[in-house]
Formats: sequence, C-alpha cells, structure tokens
Amino acid sequence: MEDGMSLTRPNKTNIPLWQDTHKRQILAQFIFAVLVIVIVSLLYGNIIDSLSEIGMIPSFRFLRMDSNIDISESIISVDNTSSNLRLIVSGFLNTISISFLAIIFSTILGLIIALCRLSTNYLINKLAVIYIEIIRNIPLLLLLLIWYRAFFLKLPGIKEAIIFGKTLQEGGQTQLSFSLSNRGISMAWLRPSDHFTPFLVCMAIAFVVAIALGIFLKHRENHTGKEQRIILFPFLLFIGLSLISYALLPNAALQKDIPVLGKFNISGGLHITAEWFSLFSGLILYTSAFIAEIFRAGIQGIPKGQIEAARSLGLSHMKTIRLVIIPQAKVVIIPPLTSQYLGVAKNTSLGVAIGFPDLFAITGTIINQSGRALEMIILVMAIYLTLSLLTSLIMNLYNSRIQIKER
Amino acid sequence: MKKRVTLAFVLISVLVLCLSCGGKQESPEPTTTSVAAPAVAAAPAPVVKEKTSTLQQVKDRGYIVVGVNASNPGFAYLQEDGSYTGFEIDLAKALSVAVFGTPDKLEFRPLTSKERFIALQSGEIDVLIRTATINSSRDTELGLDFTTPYFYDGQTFVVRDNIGINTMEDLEGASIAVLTGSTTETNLAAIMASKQIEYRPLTFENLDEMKSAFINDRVDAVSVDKSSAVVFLAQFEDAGDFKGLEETISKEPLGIAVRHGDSAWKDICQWTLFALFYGDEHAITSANVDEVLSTTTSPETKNVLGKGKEIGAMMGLSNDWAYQIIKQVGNYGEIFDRNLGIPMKVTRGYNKPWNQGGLFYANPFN
Amino acid sequence: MNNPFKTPMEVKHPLYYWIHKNLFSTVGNTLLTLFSCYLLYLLATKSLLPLFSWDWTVIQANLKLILTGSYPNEQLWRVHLCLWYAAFFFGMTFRFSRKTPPRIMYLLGIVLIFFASCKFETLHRLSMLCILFLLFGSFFIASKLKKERLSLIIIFGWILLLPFCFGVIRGFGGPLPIVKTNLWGGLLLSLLVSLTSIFLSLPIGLLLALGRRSKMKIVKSVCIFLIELIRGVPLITILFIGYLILPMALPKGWAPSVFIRALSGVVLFHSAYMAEALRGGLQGISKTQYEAATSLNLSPQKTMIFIILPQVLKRMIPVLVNSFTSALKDTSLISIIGMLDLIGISTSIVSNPKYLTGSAQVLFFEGSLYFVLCYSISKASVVLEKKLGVTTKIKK
Repeated sequence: MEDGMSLTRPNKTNIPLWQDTHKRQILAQFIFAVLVIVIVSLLYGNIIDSLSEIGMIPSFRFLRMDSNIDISESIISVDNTSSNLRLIVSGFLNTISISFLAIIFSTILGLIIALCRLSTNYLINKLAVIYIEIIRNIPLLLLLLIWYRAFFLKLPGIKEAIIFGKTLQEGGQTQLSFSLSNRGISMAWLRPSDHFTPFLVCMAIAFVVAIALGIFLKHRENHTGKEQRIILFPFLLFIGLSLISYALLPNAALQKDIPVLGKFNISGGLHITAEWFSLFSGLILYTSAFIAEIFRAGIQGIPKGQIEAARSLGLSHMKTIRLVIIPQAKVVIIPPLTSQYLGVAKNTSLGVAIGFPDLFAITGTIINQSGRALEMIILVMAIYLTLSLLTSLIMNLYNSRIQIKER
Repeated sequence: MKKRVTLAFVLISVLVLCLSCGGKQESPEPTTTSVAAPAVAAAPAPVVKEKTSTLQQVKDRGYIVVGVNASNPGFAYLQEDGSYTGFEIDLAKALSVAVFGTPDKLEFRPLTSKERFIALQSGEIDVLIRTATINSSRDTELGLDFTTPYFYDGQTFVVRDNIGINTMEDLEGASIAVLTGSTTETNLAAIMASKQIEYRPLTFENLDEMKSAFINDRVDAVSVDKSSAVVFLAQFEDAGDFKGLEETISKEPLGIAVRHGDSAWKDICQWTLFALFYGDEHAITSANVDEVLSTTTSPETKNVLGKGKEIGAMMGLSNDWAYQIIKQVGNYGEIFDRNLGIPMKVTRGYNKPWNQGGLFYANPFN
Repeated sequence: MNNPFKTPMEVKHPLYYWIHKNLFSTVGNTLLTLFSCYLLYLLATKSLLPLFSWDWTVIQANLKLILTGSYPNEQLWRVHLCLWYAAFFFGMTFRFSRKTPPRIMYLLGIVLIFFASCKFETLHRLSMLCILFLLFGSFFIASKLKKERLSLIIIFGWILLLPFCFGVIRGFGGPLPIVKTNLWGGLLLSLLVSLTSIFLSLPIGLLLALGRRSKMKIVKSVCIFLIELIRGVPLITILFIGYLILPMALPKGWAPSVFIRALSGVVLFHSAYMAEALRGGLQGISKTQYEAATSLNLSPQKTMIFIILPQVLKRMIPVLVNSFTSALKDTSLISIIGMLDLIGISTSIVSNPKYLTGSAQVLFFEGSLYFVLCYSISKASVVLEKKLGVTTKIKK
C-alpha cells in the first residue's frame, strides 16, 4: 500500500551513512584498530632499531647461559653455573612462597586487629586504631627499610644468638633445636628421607580418595539440598589417611634435620633468613592493617536489626556470628580482600630493597649482568600477570559461590 | 561566554603544562643539522645510521651530561647544599674544563648500578664516570668503550679483626655481603667456586645497607674493592676492630666509559686523564703551573701546557686545555689527596705515576 | 543494647563508671587492659624514649636536601611562591564550606608561627608568615564574594595549581631561569609526581573506563587488556619499563628525562586504578538516569557529559583524595630507579662522610613526614565525604 501511513519498519537504506549509528561504530572501531596497530608497531620498531644500533638483537638465548652469580637463598639449588632461567625460576619460587604465606598470615592478623578495633575495651581499641593509622599512612618501602634496619639488624648477632636446646655430640659438633639471631631463625625440622617415595604414593592415593569423597558429598548436596561440608571432610580425610599411612609404613618417611653450629653460621635444619622473615613480617604488618579495615567495614555494615533478630530467635553469640554475621559480611569483604591479596603478591617485589632475592631483584641482577633489559622485562611482566590473573580467578570463583542469591 | 572562558583556561593550562615539562628541552638533543643528516641517510639505507658525534652534541648543548653515583663516599656524593663532590666529580670537572674552559658546565645524573650502562647506551648521558670496572665483555658486548684506568683497584674482603680470619680459605661457611650488579658479585662467585669454598652470599643495593649489615654482624665479611674497603673502615669509630684481608681476588681497573664508535669524544676523555697523569709525573700542580709554564724547557711540557704543538686544536679543544685543567682542578695527585687521601686516608697503592712506582703512564704529548 | 538511661552510679561518678565499663567490666577485659598497659610501657621505653637521645643534627643540616633536593638555593623563593598559591586557595576553600575558620586553620597557623620562629634563613621565616597571612586573608576575602563567583574561582584555582607549580618551579627563562628536573628532589619531587599523577590519571582513567563500558568490541577488548595488564604487574616493573624501554621506544629526538619516564610510569599505573574506580562509579548510576535523558532527547554523548559524569565525578572526589594518599606512598618507589625523591635522598645524605650514622634518624623523620601528610589527607577526605553526602561505606 502506498499511502503515507505505512506502519512497517522504515526502510534501512533511507538513513544516510554518517547518521547511521551502527555503521559509524564500525568505522570508529576500524579507525581505532588501525591507530593502535600503527602506534604499537612504531614503538616496537623504534625499540628494535635502538637495540640494533648498539649491537644487541632481542633474543631469549641468554636464558640458557650461565648466570655467574650466587644468590643468598633459594628453594631449589642454584650456584654460579646455573642458567639464567634457573635463577628466574628460583626467584619465582621465592616470590610465591612468601606471597602465599603472607596472604594467610596477614588475613589472620588482620582478623585479630579487626576484632581489637571492634572491642569495647578502650585501651585495646585505641591501640588498634593507632596501629592501623600509622601503618596505613606510611609507604611500604619505608616500613620495610625501618623494619629491617632498625629492628632485624639490631637483633643479637650470631655469636650472641638466642639458642634453645643446645647439646654437644660425640663428634665435637654442637647441635641445637632453635636459634634466633640477626641472621635468621634455625630450628629442628623434618625432611624427606630416602624412603619418602612410598609415602608420597600413599599421599597421592589419599588425595584421590579425598577428591572422590568431595564429589560424593557435592552429589549428595545437590540431591538432598542439605549443605554438606564439601571442603572440610575431604581435607580431614586426606590428613587422616596420610597420617595412618605414615605410621604404618615400615621405614620412616621423614627424618630429623638438626641445626649444627658451625664456625660462622648454623647449617642444617629449617633456616629462615632475616631478609625473608623481615619481608614476610613487614608485608604481614602492612597488609593486615588494610585487611583489618576491610573486615571492620564488612562487620559494621551489617544492620543492627540482623543481630537483634538473631537474638530474638534464641541464637547464642557464637551461632549468631557463624550463621548470620559471617555469611553477610563475606559478601562485602571478599572483593576488596581480593585486591589486597593481589597487592601482596606485587608488594613482594620490594624485597629488592632489603636484599631478598625475589623475582624482581633477580630480574634486576640479570639485566645488569647480561644487558638484556627488553627480554627480561617482557618475561617478568608475563609472570606477574599470570600470578595476578590466577589469584583473581580463584578469588572470583569463591566470590560467586558465596554471593547471596537475591530475587 | 562561560564555555569560552572555560575553554580558554583549559587550553592555557594545558599549554603551560606542556611547556613546563616538555621532554624535548631536558636532555641531549642533536642539532638541526645532524637531525637532517641521519634522516636523509636513514631513508634509503635504514641499517646504517650516521651518528652525530658526542663532542658536537656536547658543544652545541653547552654542557656535558655525566652519569655518576650519588652515594659513594669519597668518590661521588651530595653535600648539604645539594652540590656534588668527590673524586669522580673532580674528573668530570676536568673534562668540563677541557671542553669549555670552566669546571661548571656539567649536569650530573645519579644512576644506580643497574642503569648505568643502559643510560650510556641509550644516549641519556654522554659519559659515565661511576666506578665502572673495565672488562672484556663490557668492552665488546655492551657496546661501550673505556679509557685507560683512572683508578687501579682490586677486590678484597673486610672482616673483623682477631677472630682468626687471615686468608680466603678461612671464610668457609661464612656469610659474605656484596653489592649487586657489579663485577664484585661475579668475581666473588667465580673465585669461591673455583676454590671450592662454600659460603653464604648476601647482596645489597648500596653501600649504606651493606655497612649496616656488617656493623650489626649480619655478615661475617664484606667483599668490596680495596678503595671502598678503606672508605668502609674509615667510617667505623672503632676502626681497629676491622681489617682488610691482604689477598686481592681480582683486578678492578676503573675507567671512564663512552659509547662505541665515538672516537673523538673518547680521545678527549682519554687525553684529559693523560694530562692529569702528566701533571702528576712531572710534579706540575695548580700552584706552580704558571711558574712551570714560563720556565720550562721540556718540549713535551710545552706541548702539554699549550706553548708548543697545537695538540688541543687536533682534538677540537682550545690549546691551553691541559693548562686550564691543572690550574683549575689540579693534577691527579691533588685530586686524589683532596677527595680520598686526606679525608678517607686511602693510600695511593698502584695509583701513582710510573716514575714513582705506580701504574699510571701518560702517553707522549707530541 | 545501649541503655539510654544512665544509672545512678554513672551520674554520680562519671569517671569511675567510665573506667569500669570500658576497661574493667569483665575478667577478660581486665586482663586485656593489663596487657595493653604492658604493651604501652614497652613501646614507650623501647621506641619513644630513645628518640630523645638520638642525634638530630643530620636532619637539621640536610633539611634543604630532604625538602627540595638539589634545587638551587637562590631559586627557592619559587617553591615558596607555589606554597603561597596553595595557601591562598586553601583559605578560600575553607571559607566555601563554613562561616568561621575551622580548627585546622588555627592549628596550621600555630605550626606556621612555630616554624617562623625557628632558626632558619630569613627568607623561609618570612615566607611562613606570608603563608599565614595569605591563609587567613583569603578566608576573609572569600567572605566578601558571592557563592557562585567563589566556587568558580576555587575550581579554576585548583585546576591551575599544577600548571602553575610546574611553570614556576621549572621556569622558562627570563626572571624564572630554567631549573632542570634532575635537580628536583626530596619532598618537592614526591609531591609533584603524586599530584601530577592524580591530575592526569583522572582523564586517562575516564577514557579507559568509558572504553571498557563501550559496546564496540575492539575498543572494549583493548581497554580491558590495558587495564588488566597494568593492574596485574607491580608498579616497580612499570617504572622499570618506563626507565629502560621508553627512551628506546620514542623517536630519536625525544629523549625524555628521567622525571618524565618515572612520571609516565606512575601516571599509567594510577590511570588503570582510577579506571576501575570510575567503572564502579559509573555502574552505580541507575539506569533510570539514562532513560530520563533519552526521553529528553539527549544524545548519548550529551547524556554522558551533562548528566552522568557530573554525578560520577561528585562521587569520585573522596576517592580522588584518597588516591592522592596512595599516590604519595606509591611514588616512594621511584627511588628504586635512581630518582632522588624523599627515600632516595636519604641514601645520599648518609653517604656524606659527616653523617654516616644518621640513617635511622633520616628514615624516622621521613616516616613522620609521610604520616603527617597522608593522615591529614585521609582525614580531609572523611570530612569531604560527609560534606558531599556521598559515602563509600555501605549504608543500610
């Protein structure tokens, strides 16, 4: 029908090109993409040019060359003939070990301080406030420097170390069970003996059984609707089975590792260097102040009505906390907590300032000795990025699990 | 109206911001002629780039950009009023006198040991006078050139006295501190590995932290260059409790570093050093240089001080460049005594002219 | 829970009642009180008392280095000029919100008079008095102006603060000879870098946040990639990239100074964080705003500029002030790439043979400086939050 009152859609070709939002967006995206590609290739081209001018062509071959340096501590064995790659792996392991433990302990300490902050005891409350305010308002670098220099280095030297359990063996060796000095802490520890492999196999079996239990419990939860302890029971099962297998195995899977006093240092046992410990404790002190504030905000954000309602239902103090306060607080706390955890992993890079060979410190050393700045930086960025993405992935999974499903 | 005023304000502030911290005026910049030349040369043959000589850049800019250390007692450090002073700073001043006639045409860039070579490679600084040990890999792989050493150093250990450490082997199992990113680090690792001595290394970023660690007995020994060892020992009130081991692990000749392929500039740095050595060899000091200038009969001394052959002009400098250096800054011995000998009690060791038993030998000036 | 009625005990002996209720109400509480008293005693004897026995000459002698680095002495009046500018607009801003000077102004006044009476150079002492005069004077002047005019002046004053400071401190010849950025150091450098990074990270972060929310796939993915990349790596790595790679990446004639390189690293870092904060703010604007704007026939661009952004930015002001604190603290990392900011200059000071044992004093002094600055800024942001009626905490 050709009267003017057509109720069908207007013909698309009537819209001029420059007014069509859809086409405009495509054009804009195209221009944007071209711009980005041009800029990136320009920058990259410049970098390659500058490097080739001084005779260095980017390549990753230097990773296989000897590093020629020793580093002060490492979980895997390194010496001056280790390749650069091995050195980087060692730095990475150092970083991970500290971040992982620092995250756990700073959460615990943060919780304690948050509780202090919420306490009705005036002195404890104010002490917590002073602590939080001081720590939050100075840079981490400064805190680490002060903590290391003014505190750790002032601990007694190795000759006046605080020692427990000193015994003199027949061979003239002096053994001890614990020592504290400004070089670090040494304590008697267990380490895998030669018969560790059967135990490892048993642990693997226990792990599989625990996973099976977890799957079974999840199945049951889906079926019956009752919440099951999906994590706790399998974990306990794993621990229990491992302990039983350890006791039942004929040869001891672990053996004692006792520190021995040497001419200059204490060798053997579990040795935690002062640098590791000061970075660790500095990170914990710093992060716990922020975590305490996050906890406090979460807990105080819960309306008073909830607590009153719980009381009127007859729930005890502990039950209120466990069933009413914590689930609601968790929702609010987890996202900022995630960013704090990410911050911990990145803050370990400050170990370079106090002599701890974390990933970044080793990067600096390798750049210095080999001159390969571009390649090392790309590598290091990739590693840190992977670490961050992994952490936020795990935390986001947990976050979506605990979200209160609202209608 | 309001919109226009706002727009004007925003534009003005953006303009001011750009003017204030525009990177262009900050740092070494090639002149207009030299920008044209590489552009023309670069277009048809991108591989071969014609580089502007550093000397030309420096002269056009009007000052030399020197990479230094801001926290090396005796060699280069900051005074309360913010000015730099020290042994290496005086060498830079000599360079400035050579090129410009006055010792103040300098701009100092404090660099950590990590960035010192990269800063030189990338063109941020013209010359590096920052306790850089000359070795083959730096000379070849890193794209740098070195002058003759201006300081012969060696690596050794500083330990506490009277606990029975006299040789390196006594350090088995000890904790040893070393500065990161330096040849001391690699030398220590290499020599300990070769002698199969087990030890526990601890690396630090700067001397101050190392000193704290050593004083507090965090480490049993510190591995530093002999010159730093003396400075180190000078800082302790009870210096009698510490000593340096006699052994020298490695040769640590410190030289001035410039970029590869920069011959004219390197010549100037090189012969500035030789002028300083020459003054030391022939006892020409800032006090008596005028007298020597008027009374000398040696043709070489005349060449040096500007009355004989026109050596300065061959390098693009004024002819009395060496005279001005010795007059305004002093000869090598004076510089050494002023910064290291008297305040830090560093002995000259090998850092003496050859005719006094040391290793400095100024090549002939003719 | 909280009994609004006071017991007879509380009325008669308020202090005793307070002590009992807050410190000794239960056995557990009593133990905690005793424990914290012991802690306080330990802190006082181990940390506070030794402070008085330390030798503070290293601070006195190097105060100029700590505060301004190697800035030439005869040009220090320019730094004072910037302080006067800031004081002037501070006074006006205070007047904007209240009729009488707040307590903080009196506190500042007392501090300034104290500094003016210390044994510094005449120039600095006079300058302190000038700041005091400007602070109260501008307060007075502002009371004579109409509110609209005043708000306009204040906004432009603060926006122009940074260009003014840069222009004056760097100079461009003539009466203001150029002072190169490698001479800037100490607190001056830290403040300039953090202020600039906040100012610049806002527009850049805004662009990134808008790009991330855009419907155009390519723009969105590029923005997400950039934001996650920058947020996923430590600041030190970004600073290192800026320091080592930037000179190689830029065309030959552009060799940027160390200051520019460090600054670009810090700005990039904060832009990513600002983008995330802005994204949260943008998400907080309810859909009805967009719908109302569309029904008024506003194009998407006009909606963004006139409706959405003013609301977001108003909510962002406390966040901005807070991020100034974190910027100030993060800026301390530029000392690791060799810049002589507050922490970097402390290493130089203790290398001076005269002050070799002064590292503890210098570190402590700097810690106090940072604390005073950051604490006052965070307190200011709390006040701002209350004033603007926006809060980042959960309200129920």
